[in-house]
Amino acid sequence: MTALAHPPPHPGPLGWLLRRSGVLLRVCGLVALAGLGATVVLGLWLTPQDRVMGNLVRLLYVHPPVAWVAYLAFGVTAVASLAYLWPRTRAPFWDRLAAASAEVGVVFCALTLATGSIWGRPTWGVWWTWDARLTTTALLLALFVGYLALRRVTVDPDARARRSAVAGLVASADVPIVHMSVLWWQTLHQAPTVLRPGFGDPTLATPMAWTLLVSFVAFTLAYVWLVGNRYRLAVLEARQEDEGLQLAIAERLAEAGPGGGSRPVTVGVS
Amino acid sequence: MLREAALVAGKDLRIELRSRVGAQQVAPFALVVLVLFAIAFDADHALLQQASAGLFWVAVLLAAVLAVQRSFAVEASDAARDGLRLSGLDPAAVFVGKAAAIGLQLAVLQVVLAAGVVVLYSSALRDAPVVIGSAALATVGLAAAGTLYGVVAASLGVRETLLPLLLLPVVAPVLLSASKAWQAALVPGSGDPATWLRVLAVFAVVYVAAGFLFFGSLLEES
Amino acid sequence: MSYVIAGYSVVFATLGAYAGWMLRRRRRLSRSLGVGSGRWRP
Repeated sequence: MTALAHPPPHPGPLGWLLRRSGVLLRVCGLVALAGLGATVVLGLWLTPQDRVMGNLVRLLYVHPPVAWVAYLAFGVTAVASLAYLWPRTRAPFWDRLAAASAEVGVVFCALTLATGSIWGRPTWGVWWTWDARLTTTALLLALFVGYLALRRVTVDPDARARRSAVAGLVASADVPIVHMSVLWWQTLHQAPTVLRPGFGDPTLATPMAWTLLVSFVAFTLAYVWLVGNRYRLAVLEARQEDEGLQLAIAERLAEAGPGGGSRPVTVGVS
Repeated sequence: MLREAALVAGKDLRIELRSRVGAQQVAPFALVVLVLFAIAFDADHALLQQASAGLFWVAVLLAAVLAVQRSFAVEASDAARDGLRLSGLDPAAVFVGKAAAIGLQLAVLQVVLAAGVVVLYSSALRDAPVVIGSAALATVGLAAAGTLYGVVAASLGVRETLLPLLLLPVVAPVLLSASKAWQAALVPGSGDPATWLRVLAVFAVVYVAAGFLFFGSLLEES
Repeated sequence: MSYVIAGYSVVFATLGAYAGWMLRRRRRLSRSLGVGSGRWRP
């Protein structure tokens, strides 16, 4: 295990991106922040009420974007897991990306359920309903909480990467099956009473449509910023693990003393 | 490959026959779960009868977690897992063998539980082809997913708590589809089981394939 | 409207807290690792 002062250089456009990543990330964060601010201002003040739902329609500017990001995040985890398992593209980059995206995804997934619940209470009168989308999202959350728990428990980085990649991929493969089965389940129970605040209405107020667009872009950029930073944190954590390990080795060797290392150096736990 | 799988399955089943953990612990546990449901629902006969399909499959799922843990626990001692790795057996065969052993135990368990449901909840089992077909597909899927996640959790100290967290959300579609299929069979007029059988089949195919692809590398890691 | 405010607050408070935690941890780790200075042992 060699401790590198600098990560190995990447060729090509990816390398260009990675070298500029600090600046790009900061710009991304600032634009996201501006976008989110705009979403709040537009969503809470400047857009009109809906004919049917009144003020509740303002949740349209947070709930769907947050849900979209959750699914995007898990999609990225699935792709990154696949990329890690593919021998030609295997690199710690994909493992860390998968982990970072999964963690951000769990946050957004929980937010999806929370905002969905908050929207549902005044609309349907209940905090929760077993409609297809909410149920699938709840199971999605469970799948990825499990994924994160698995990562936390495995200590050896290579084993962790391999195991998580498989677990991540297999969990992602389950998502369409979950979606399919729950959708069939729910279309049997009730007519598709999906919240459609004037969507079918071709005269969807233009400010609403624009705000929706702004919110989607803003939350997506926020996702990118969060994952970028979480990734960098993961790199730092890996270095810390490395350093901690080397310290432990050095201490053990020092312990063994000039008499030679008759005691085996055991590091790491199973 | 099949012969190697049969070897592994035979080993697991022989251990089970000799230790009788399945018969003496897992099956009683599943039956206790059925009783607990009855207590929780205040012995409401009508409700229990209506809910039999779902309650049956929840009990099966919980028992499946135990069966999977047991299947990998038997190799935790005496470096038996190392032995399995170094034996030169095709990892796919190990996967099929272990999954088959788990599947067989689950099948026997289901027969016992079905009797339990008939007796305890006074539900009547009808439409044997759907009941047996869906159970068979569900069992294949459960065994495959269980074996895959079992080996992931096998070498971890927290295996007992991690395995349920990993496995149960993944097999939720199996619970859903099998319950719906059985409901369609048990309660005439409550729907068409065809879609559910299809979901069960898809799940089984996906997880058997995943097992073939990944079990080997996961076994190496454990 | 209170539900709307609740919804927005939950979202932004959570994201803010998460971002804050990440940045703080990053700062702490880079400081303790002395990133940039040569504290690496071969």
